[in-house]
Amino acid sequence: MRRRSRYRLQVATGLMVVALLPACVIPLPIQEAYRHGSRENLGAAAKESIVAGKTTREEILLRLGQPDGAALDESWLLYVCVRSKGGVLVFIYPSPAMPAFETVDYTRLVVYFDEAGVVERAQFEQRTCRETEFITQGADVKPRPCIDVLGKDLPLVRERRARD
Amino acid sequence: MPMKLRLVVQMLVTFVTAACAAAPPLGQQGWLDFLQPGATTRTVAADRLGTPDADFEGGRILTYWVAADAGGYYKPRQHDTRTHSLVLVFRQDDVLDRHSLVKVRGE
Repeated sequence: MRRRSRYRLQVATGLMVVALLPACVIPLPIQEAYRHGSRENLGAAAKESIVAGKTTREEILLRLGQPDGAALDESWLLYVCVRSKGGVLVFIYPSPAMPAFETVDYTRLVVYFDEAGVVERAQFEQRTCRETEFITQGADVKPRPCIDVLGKDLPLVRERRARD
Repeated sequence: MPMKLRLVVQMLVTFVTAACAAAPPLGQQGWLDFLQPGATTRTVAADRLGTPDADFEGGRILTYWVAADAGGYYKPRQHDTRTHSLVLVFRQDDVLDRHSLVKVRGE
């Protein structure tokens, strides 16, 4: 809720800037497309093909290819897909910064394996984020995605379970 | 047509043609045809494909990023040209057991 109101404020600020500088502002549409470098093979079929207790690590790799991340002991593999749903990039002259307002779909699949390399569970997350980015000459300030696409929230190795 | 004007027109045509010419495809038809389960060894795969991009299960499974264009498949030099992931699974005797070429990008 708080995030939504913050996003609205950012859009309103952007629109105010647009209204104040009508002669120097050009809104450019951002097309719906996969993010640069994102994988595109994380559809419903990928999710359905994973059966806990049956599918192996080898089968996952043969089906989905090289993962975007993995645990040091390969106890989990991470697959990420990022798709822009479109938005608007506001070109302001002579400002060096261009704000971009974009809706982005994040899909993250984490497949956990047991010690024999068989799927324990698969965690499939999908989230839609509204992002504001300021593109400047030389560097652009990228917003933090609403899903950790690098898997930094995941353990580096299998978490040991306490034995009875 | 005067000689000078003719020369200028010819130079213009040459420049325009050179600028519009498409880059030759990098891919090679049949680049991955050597991969035969039960026959291709790890050494042969390494000689043809180079160092793998990742390995799993103690090197039993190797993965390579692959790109594709009109000419066929090739090894990409840049991250953004990767379109496929080649997965090779070897037996204990280092002979190829299974393999797959997974399309990860590109409509």
